Amino acid sequence: MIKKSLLDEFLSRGFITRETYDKALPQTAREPVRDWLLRRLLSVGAALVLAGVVCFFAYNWDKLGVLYKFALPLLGILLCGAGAWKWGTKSALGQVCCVGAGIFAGTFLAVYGQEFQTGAFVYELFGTWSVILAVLAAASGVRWVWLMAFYVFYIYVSGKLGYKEVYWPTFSIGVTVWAVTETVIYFKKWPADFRPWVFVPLWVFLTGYGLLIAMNWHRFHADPKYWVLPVFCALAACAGLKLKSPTMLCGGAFSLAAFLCVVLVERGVIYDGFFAAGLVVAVLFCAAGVAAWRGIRYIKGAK
Amino acid sequence: MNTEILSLVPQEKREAAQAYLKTREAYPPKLVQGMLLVGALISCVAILFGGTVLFGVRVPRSVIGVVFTAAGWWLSAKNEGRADWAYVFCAQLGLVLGIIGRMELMDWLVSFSHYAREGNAFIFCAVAVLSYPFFKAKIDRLFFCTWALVALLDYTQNGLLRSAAGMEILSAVLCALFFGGALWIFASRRIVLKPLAYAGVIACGVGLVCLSDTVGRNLSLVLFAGMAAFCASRLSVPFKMRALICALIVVLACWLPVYAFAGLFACAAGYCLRERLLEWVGMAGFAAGLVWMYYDMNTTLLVKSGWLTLAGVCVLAAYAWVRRKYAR
Repeated sequence: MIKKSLLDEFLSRGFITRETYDKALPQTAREPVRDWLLRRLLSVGAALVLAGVVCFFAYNWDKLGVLYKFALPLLGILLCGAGAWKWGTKSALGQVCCVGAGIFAGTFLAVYGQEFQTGAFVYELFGTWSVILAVLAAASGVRWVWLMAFYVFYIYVSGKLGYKEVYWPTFSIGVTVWAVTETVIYFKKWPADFRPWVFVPLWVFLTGYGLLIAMNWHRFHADPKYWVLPVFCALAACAGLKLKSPTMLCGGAFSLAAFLCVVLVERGVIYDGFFAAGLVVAVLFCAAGVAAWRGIRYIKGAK
Repeated sequence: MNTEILSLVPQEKREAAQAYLKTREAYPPKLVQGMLLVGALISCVAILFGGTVLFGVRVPRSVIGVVFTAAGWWLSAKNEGRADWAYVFCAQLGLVLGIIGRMELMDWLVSFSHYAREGNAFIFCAVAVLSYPFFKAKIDRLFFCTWALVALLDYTQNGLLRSAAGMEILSAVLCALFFGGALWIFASRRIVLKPLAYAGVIACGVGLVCLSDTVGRNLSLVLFAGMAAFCASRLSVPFKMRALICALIVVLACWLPVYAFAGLFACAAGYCLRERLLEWVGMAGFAAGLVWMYYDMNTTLLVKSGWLTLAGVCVLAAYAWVRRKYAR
């Protein structure tokens, strides 16, 4: 199968004529028109119906009795469960049904809290929801439900502790989930392309937080938090090389370069005018890019 | 895959094609190019803010513009098509310098016309046209062409005509022209002009969103429906199918707002012309158009829910029909 972009380049550079291009074009990869149309009709139709149903219940919510309010999410769970059973958790539709059941479970808890005014904090709802999602994930084995359970649990933790205390719990949970994901991928239960869904949010959190901390050497240099980002970046880069993941390798290299730039500027090492500071920062990013590229070439060679 | 495409190349050009493929494979991945681009961007900003004072005297902006543009062109041209990281960095440095240089020049030039709309449109178009043959990076061409076309739209919408209806009509015609021009470029396989085509699609989207009058919106809907019907008539399918597609176009044009219709048209055109990016832009435009349509509906939640559900059921019925009719 020829890539269309390559065919275009060959035409623009004069390697092939327009007639040859037209003859070769049908050989480029394209989804059959039936599948293309069906996929789009299904997604648009389902989204419109779902939006309509949500609007209907939003309009009538105050007029609905307690039983109806509880029956709706329970009905959703039942239908999704039936769908997962019919199509199986290995198929895409079955997995969508499992995720849907997880979402309806959260809706049920929200309705319960609203109707009975239990006095619980909002984060407690997320805590309970994450437990339900974990049980559902264990029962179904669907990795997306595990991911949802992890994100909901993080919302619970951040709600309970507040932004000042959330760093270490988030770091611990994130690293644990990352390690578990890598283990499951290693045993070939989950595909390797699932990795970024777990790694990237953790990387974004640690980079953002780490750079903010790095801007204040005097306050944080004795705090272990200060050194988490560079250690994490080194770990991510090494793991990227070992596990052949360009995302982890480049993410680690980029964050490390950003961290070094912030530290050097904040410590006054390169604050000798905008010009010098800018050039040193540019050199650091380029060095990171080159290192990452060498790493990717090594990965490609190793593959 | 390489042998497959190389077999299409005549013998006398095969060596050059092989050399090109080798360079292309050796090119750094996008993530690495991103890091090098960050480095190039910071270098240029540092040079712009820190290195433009010579012997205590600030260099005039026109001189900065000319020097940066020339340096950017030279670096890009010298390092084009070379795969080593140093050449890639220099090429990206040239890209950023060239963009900054021309932006400085444009800002200096528009100051002469006191930032009047017609001056802006003329200068932006002139810079885009003059730099197109020299600056070959796709992102560079896309950036300046988009800017020029949007400035042209802004001039027609707010500067050219006094009457509001006249402005709206001209804007609608221009949006349709930009979109039709883009489709022509894609269909005629003018690869060099593809950045201009995408600039036309983006400018068309911006123009449609800025149409405030129903005259302009209805006219643009008619023009887009006409273009879609024309494209449908050119499909190599049986006559019955073409008639069905044209009927569907009429129904959708009556029901959807112009931005959603245009998005759907772009998505379908992208699929037919094998332009993945156009397909994705079209889908995004269609989704945005539907959301806009929802918020534009001045009715209660109950009526909105009815319309949404009815539309969804119709689409799912179409899905079931297509699935049954064309079962494997």
